[in-house]
Amino acid sequence: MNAIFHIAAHELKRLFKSPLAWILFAVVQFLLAIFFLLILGQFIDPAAASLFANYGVTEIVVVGLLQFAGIILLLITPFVTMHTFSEERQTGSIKLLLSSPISLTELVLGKYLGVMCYLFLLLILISLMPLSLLMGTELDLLQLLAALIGLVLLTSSFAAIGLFVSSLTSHSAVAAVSTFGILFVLWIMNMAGNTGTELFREILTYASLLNHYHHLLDGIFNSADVIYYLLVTSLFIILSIWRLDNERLR
Amino acid sequence: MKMTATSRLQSRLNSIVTLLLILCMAALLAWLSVRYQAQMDWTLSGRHTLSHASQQVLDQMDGPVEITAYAREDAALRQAIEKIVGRYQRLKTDITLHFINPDAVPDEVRNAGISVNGELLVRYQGRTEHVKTGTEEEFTNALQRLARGSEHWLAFLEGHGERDPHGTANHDLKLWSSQLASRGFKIQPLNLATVQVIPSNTKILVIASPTVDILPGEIALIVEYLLRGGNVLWFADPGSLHGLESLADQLNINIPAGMVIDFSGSLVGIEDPTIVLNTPSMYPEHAITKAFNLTTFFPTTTSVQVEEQKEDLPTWNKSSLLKSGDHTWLETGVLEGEIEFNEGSDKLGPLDIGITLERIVDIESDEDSSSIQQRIIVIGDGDFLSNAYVGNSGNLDLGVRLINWLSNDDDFISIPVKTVNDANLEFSPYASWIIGFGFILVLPLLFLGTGLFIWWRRKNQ
Repeated sequence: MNAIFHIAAHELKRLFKSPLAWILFAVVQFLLAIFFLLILGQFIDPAAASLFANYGVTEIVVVGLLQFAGIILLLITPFVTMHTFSEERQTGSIKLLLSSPISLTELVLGKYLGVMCYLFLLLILISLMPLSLLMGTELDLLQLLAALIGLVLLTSSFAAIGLFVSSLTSHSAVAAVSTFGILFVLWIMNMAGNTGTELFREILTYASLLNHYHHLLDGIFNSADVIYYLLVTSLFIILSIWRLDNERLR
Repeated sequence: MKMTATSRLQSRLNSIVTLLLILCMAALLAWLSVRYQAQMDWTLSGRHTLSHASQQVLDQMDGPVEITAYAREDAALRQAIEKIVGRYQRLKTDITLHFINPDAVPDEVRNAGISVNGELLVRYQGRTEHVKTGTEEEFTNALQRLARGSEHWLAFLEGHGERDPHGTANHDLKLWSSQLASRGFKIQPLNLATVQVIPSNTKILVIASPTVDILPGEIALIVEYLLRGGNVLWFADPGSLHGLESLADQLNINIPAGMVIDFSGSLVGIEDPTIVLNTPSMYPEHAITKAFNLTTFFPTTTSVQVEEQKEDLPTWNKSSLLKSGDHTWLETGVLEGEIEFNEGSDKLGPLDIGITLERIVDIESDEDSSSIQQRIIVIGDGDFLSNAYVGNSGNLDLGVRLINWLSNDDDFISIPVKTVNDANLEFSPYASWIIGFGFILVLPLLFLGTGLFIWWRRKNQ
């Protein structure tokens, strides 16, 4: 158990020692703030009052912002996870790790926890914006909670997929691009949702990362959506362990 | 461990099998999680849950409900439909939803009377209802009508050149009556001269614009039916009443000679001033036109005037149902050349062109006495439901609503739109300052600064 925390702490330190992590924070915050202010401006604008007649601030501004946040996280997670295993592989320290008494499970979980801590801090930062709206109105807090849970689950799946891809290659850049590719495909999968048989469509809709997120953003707390993300996360973590185990035997 | 070729193969196999097992496990868990879902609506306004009224209607329905959605291949529309039907499906699992592209089946669309992209055909126990706008209110009301299920007989008077419910000529009523039939009403032509009695199970007697005089014996039967408490739908087109004056007397109404002239139709491209236009804002407050947002057209109409109550006749509770607009009048002169309002002979609008009458009738039977609510509708036009005009705008909808009301199947369930508590934003200037600058300037600069600092420190190490 301790080993996991040690590795996580080590990973977190590594992340924050690099200027990239901080610049990512700055860029994400900046982009989301722009979007936040834009959407807020639209909502307040008296000219658009009739459009937003019976919609609350939570539904329009918060959901809009977090939708955009989901996309931003999709773009930056590959950069965060690309070094997790690839760097170790490059420097050769992977062999050290693999031959150490730490179990593979502990290793993978530790790395994952480290990455998630970083991303979690980022999510806390992002959630400051919707929360700041409390200064001006009452929010639909439960819906906000559902949306944030959705964002956390979404991010955890991104991170798990990124982790797995990183464990496959020794080049960080390759890891980053591949992760991005996979995430993007899973994201837009539900757009293909109009072709093919009904079963095919159902599978595609289920597999799409975006779909379940939207349900949670809307305030629908469905066990199937939550379990979906937990499944994706655990699947890719287990696959990472499997991959490293394989490697060890080679 | 010695790595022989065999053991290497074994371990390879081992890892592949493990991979397959992992994937199968994931797929199984995914399938299970979808099969046994638990959903909670966390929105404050309960946006995703059905109102109590809808739930009650669903409780009344035993048996499967089939919904066919005629929606084009537009993801947004189909998803919206799935969303709203899904709310009902969650509470009643034997509701099935099926999509059809209306462009692919034009015949089916025409026969079923589909007019809107995204229209739903809801089938239950052999009856169908249409849902056009997909609001919870419309949907639940349609379900409620389906749940009712009692058989209602509509007797259409015939033998005097009336509009034929099974006729396909322009002036007949086939299109309207087939819509009624699909909703569970039974259409029965009634020739009083032959049959000599109005069947006791008649729910509504429909008199659809006779063109020949009705025999006194038949009139007597109709009046007797009226006094007994029977419901009547009377389309009295301009021209002679053909013997039904005594019916008008019983109802304390007067249907004058003449035709209503309405020039407002020219605003929507109708040049014929004998067509009366009714826009949604013009409908008087009435159960029949509640939440009715369609325009209706009435070609060649006369007005129906309420007279003073005569003492020895039953007292009716009268309501105005349809009115012609301002700047209309009842033209009593010949309709040729320039049609103008003539002070003295013509009557200035707005005029009632349709009214309803109600009263409570006590029925004495051998066992006990009960009372029923009698309902009558008199409209000064029958063309609006004829095959030629029924497809226009809201005419058909109105036609269905008339029958629904007359069959006392008219409990309208009102489901108000959900309100939210966070529709307004008000910030103190202090707050606006934080939000405006804090997020977009202060925080990013803070992080950027730290990042640059670390980079600079690294460089100088």
